[in-house]
Amino acid sequence: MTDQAAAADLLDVAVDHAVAALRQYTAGDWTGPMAELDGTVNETVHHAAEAMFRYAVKLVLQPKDPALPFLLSTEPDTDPRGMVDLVVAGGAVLASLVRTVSPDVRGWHIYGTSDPVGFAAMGIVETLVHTHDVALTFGGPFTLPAAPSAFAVERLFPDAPDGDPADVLLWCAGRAPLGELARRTQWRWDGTVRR
Amino acid sequence: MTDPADLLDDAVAATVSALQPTTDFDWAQPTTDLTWSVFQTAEHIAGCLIGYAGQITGQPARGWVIPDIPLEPDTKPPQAIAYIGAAGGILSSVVRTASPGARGYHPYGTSDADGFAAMGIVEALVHTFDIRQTAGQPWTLPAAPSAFAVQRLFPDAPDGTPADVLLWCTGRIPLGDRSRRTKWRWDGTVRD
Repeated sequence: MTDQAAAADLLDVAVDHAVAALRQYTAGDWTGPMAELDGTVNETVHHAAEAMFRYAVKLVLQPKDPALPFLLSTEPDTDPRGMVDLVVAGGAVLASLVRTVSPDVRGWHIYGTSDPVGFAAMGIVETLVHTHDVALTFGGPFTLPAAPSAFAVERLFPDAPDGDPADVLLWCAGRAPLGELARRTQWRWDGTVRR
Repeated sequence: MTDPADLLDDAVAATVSALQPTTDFDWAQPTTDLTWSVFQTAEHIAGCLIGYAGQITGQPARGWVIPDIPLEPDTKPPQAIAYIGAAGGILSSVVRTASPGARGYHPYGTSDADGFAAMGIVEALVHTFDIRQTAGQPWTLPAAPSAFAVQRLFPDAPDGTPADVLLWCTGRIPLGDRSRRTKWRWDGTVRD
């Protein structure tokens, strides 16, 4: 079982990897549509960053229901580099909370009330999978880092098939087929606390 | 010296309890001496705390990583207060885990983790003072966080009770023979 410090380290690895990839595309048009998702590149990256801030807030407030009374906005003219900074900050803020909160902390999530290690895994999925989406949009290659992917799969997708961790995570998240397994059109993780 | 993150936690805890009795007051009313409603002032406290966490972690050379954190318009005062508590918890966590070399932009001087902790204390305590004044409920700022914030951010501050000195530094009250300041800014630059 991955402890909080190790989970936070893996989140840092994932965010560093994603940020390095996103920085390759900051000269592109982030107001244009995504390849396979609704919305623009800006909205997708913003979503990934906001998810991490929300998870951090959940690790402090420990909500028992969906109500979180805030909306993380960015200035309308935020450029791609500013959006990448937001991902850096979101990842670091979430990693900081994962390192410092009590293991007993629980926060509501629609896919199951979870714990610090679970929210670290969710941050990894949001960051890596959406960076994959952005890379696909700009036609560039992006390989998900193995160790964070393996951790996220193990923590959030207990019924996942065997395989290369990056490929398995992309299959779990409905991004790609995996061998003979067709691409999933519906999926959700299970963030509930493991015993 | 007491740990800046602990002092920030103390200040935010004081803010959260001091704001509870104001929830019967109409938060749509303007805040005394400010251009914001009470609701907007509370939103500003939370926005500063989480915004500072963004500066220490994102470490921008210029500008704000998180420019704005509006609350949902139908947020009730107790929720807004809870959110201030969460934002304070995030900032203190980030202050505790930041590397000593972390620097983030602020218009009053690029600063470090302890500096942003001190700024968070000022925002929380001084605006809570504003809201309590507005509600007609005078309130005394906690001494230890006030003293730390004054020492870190206002190097030329006069002597006196820390709570009063901080309120004088931020243009809220006169201090003895000194008249109330109409212009002020802190100095968040890194101390050697």
